Amino acid sequence: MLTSQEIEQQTEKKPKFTGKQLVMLDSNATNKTINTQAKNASLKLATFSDYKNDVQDFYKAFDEADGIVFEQFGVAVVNEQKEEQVSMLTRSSGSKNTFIYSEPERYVYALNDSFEEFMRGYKSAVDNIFSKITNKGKISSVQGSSFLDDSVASWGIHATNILKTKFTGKGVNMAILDTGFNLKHPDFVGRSITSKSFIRGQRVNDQNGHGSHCTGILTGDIKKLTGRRYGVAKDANIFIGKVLSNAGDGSDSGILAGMEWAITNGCKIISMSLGASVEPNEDFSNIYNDLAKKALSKGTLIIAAAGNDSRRDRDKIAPVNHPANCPAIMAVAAVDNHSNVANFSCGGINPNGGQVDIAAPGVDIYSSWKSPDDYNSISGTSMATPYVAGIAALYWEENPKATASDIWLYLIQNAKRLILNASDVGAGLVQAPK
Amino acid sequence: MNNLKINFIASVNDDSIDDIKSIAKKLKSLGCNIESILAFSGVITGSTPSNISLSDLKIDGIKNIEPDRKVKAIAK
Repeated sequence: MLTSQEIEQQTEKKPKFTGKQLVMLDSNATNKTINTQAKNASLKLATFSDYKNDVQDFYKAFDEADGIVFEQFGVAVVNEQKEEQVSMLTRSSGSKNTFIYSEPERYVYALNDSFEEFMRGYKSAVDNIFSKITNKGKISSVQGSSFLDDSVASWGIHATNILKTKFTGKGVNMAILDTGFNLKHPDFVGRSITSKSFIRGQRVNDQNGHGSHCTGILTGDIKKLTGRRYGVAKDANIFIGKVLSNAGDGSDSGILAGMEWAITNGCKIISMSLGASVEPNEDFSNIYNDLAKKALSKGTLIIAAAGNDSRRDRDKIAPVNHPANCPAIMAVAAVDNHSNVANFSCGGINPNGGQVDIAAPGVDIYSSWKSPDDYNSISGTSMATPYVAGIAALYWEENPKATASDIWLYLIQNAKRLILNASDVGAGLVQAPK
Repeated sequence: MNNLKINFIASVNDDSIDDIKSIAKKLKSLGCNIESILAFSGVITGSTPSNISLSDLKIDGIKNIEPDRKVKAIAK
């Protein structure tokens, strides 16, 4: 345990700013222009290349001149107490196109964990042990991150910030490879739906419910009767590939045919809430991974469910399912409405591939269903997957020129980081673009 | 019991994608039943007769060959 004196020393505030200013310069400006305009503002600036023979001498620039221009970066560093001159340069019509903006120079420090960070990690570990031993008191992984179903939307819609985004997936072609879809669903009247069955002897119309549920999350809107929102990319173009039978069964050959169909029909996103269990240490499929890599390079992002084989309450974490275990396929884990990892959600335990990339709502998720029920609440990484796929469509609408790899990056960059293992939730809880 | 065929999925090398039909033909001549040819993916699916193992089918142009796994809807 640290003494109170040691605690005080560690939390002592270190100075933030040096007093100098960093000024962003126009990358096309010549040294002559920069120096002339600076002179007009009573600033004498040296150039870094003047000092390149002895790096240490460049500090002399701050004594001999008022600052130094780093030509390679297009940045000038100006001495203390020259704020007025810098302000004049960034505001006057004669110089503001050269001196674009300024900001104070910061001190940077080696990153040692602050005491507060240490205690946070310690508390999280203790909380974890407490809830395991007592099996009670589900502790929210991030303060203030519990959500509820209400009359406005399902908890999953609240948790992923769908109501705050202006994007709806308009113009984006998205495929769901599943048990088909309830083509007569009342909430999908007037939507653009292209479909194909890859199951011999069975039509696209979903007689299982699973495919309708995933489609509802992915690209549904509201329950027409009540106005409750349960779907993400409500204006996307829908491609239904029935690659699983009405009993929920399929095979690789059917899935691959469905993937080929989706890609060649211009689908930018393929959502696959399906898979097969794998053993610990089992390798991923090279065939699927090669296809996913090719798809990525051609502009299609493939997203799949991590799997439901874990029993975390019994300390069992199962490896991520095939084909989500492919590195080039985004694997989605499930969290509950307290942002805790779902009991059944598979984890990234295999050493070669098999990582969880991101997480999404997957427990007690309200969405569409087969006829005549039309609605249901079920759980699974199957439900989490279309949240990510639907949000991918929103990022694509926001960034129409983005590559598939760009979209992968946006999803990861903007995920809400959770105080949970990355092997369980990847980058965290997926969030819609602001 | 003697007719245990294995369903397979096979991918062809990137530089052999244009020859995928003739590669499928070669597999057929080895006794395979060809189910489908996916031109974009460079994938051939089908089944082998019982006396041929998957590794025997790694002929010229074939990059990977794997069993055709059963998959399911991942639901609780």
